[in-house]
Amino acid sequence: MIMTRRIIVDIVVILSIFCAPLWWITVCLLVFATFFFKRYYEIILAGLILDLLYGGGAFFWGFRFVYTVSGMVLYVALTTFKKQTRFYAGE
Amino acid sequence: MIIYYPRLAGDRFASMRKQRNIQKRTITFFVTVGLVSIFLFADGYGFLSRSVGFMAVSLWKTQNYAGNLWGGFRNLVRSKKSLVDENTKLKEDLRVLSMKLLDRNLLFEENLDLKEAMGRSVLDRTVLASVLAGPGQSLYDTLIIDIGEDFGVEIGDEVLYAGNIMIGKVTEVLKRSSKVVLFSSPGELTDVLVGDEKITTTAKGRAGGNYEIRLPRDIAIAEGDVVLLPGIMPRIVGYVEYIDVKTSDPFKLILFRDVVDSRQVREVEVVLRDKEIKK
Repeated sequence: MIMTRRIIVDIVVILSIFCAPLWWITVCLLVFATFFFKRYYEIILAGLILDLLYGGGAFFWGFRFVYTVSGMVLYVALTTFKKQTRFYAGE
Repeated sequence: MIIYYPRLAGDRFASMRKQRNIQKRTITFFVTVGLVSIFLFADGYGFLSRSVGFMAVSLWKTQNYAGNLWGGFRNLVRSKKSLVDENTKLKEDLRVLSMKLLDRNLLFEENLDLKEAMGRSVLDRTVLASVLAGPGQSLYDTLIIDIGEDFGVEIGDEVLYAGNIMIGKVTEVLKRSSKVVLFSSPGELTDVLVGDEKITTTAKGRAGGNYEIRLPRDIAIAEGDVVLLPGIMPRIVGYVEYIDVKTSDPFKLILFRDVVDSRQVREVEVVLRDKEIKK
């Protein structure tokens, strides 16, 4: 059941990467999913897809993997935060 | 009596676990090194970018098609009276704009004739492109357009809106799509002419259609001044919106905006200089 939910959320995230009119909708979805699912590595993959699709120009001194690195940082931060909370501590 | 067996078994399991952990770490290490090598040496970025771009273009084209269908359906079910009212209003607006443009067109043609008489042909070969994804969809401030190698688009080609407003440059070309970095993209530097005296300077993108310029305080620039790209055929980039002058600073900060909101751009023109259009 949890795996089915995870696959559905993954599909929604992918559609949001391609079709959501505003980037922060995708970021909110990813944060929610990282809280909801255990070891949500898809956040890093989603960052990579965002970078590959839209990346370019002089943003962040021309660094091409802004979303991927942000995904990694967000993953570590949220996982650490989850461990500190009573609700997720058992995971 | 001392029983040794459980302790031995525990040791054996601990050793097996340790061995498995070493195996896991070795595999992770080699996979990471492999992925990094692909990215750095074997144009992995280009390969992955092309693959993701290929999938995305199909999805975006389907989305556009569905959007057009939905728009058509919505027009069908709207009341006839509201459509007639809107039509009348739009016709009136169009008439007023056409009158205003008459003068501009005459001057433009005269300008072209004069340049041609002086031995400079300034008519560019442009090709129309539809915007598949806009700057709101990422922090990068890029546009994805629906033409690429199939129409002869190359890296560095300039992108226009409404014929005379320069908005960006092509930075990546795929088979059926291209990536355009807007001049207002964060950190992007563009040479521009500003003010009545056409002072040459460099504008820095600040995202969301905003730019900044720093100029000595004594140079006369006013709010509303036009900002152009240099060239025989000057293209509009934006208008000065705000000037920040501090008594302690010998420079002033000039903020200007795009003429058009790039999030609402649906069609652009790509300038194909000295090239034949393949299709």
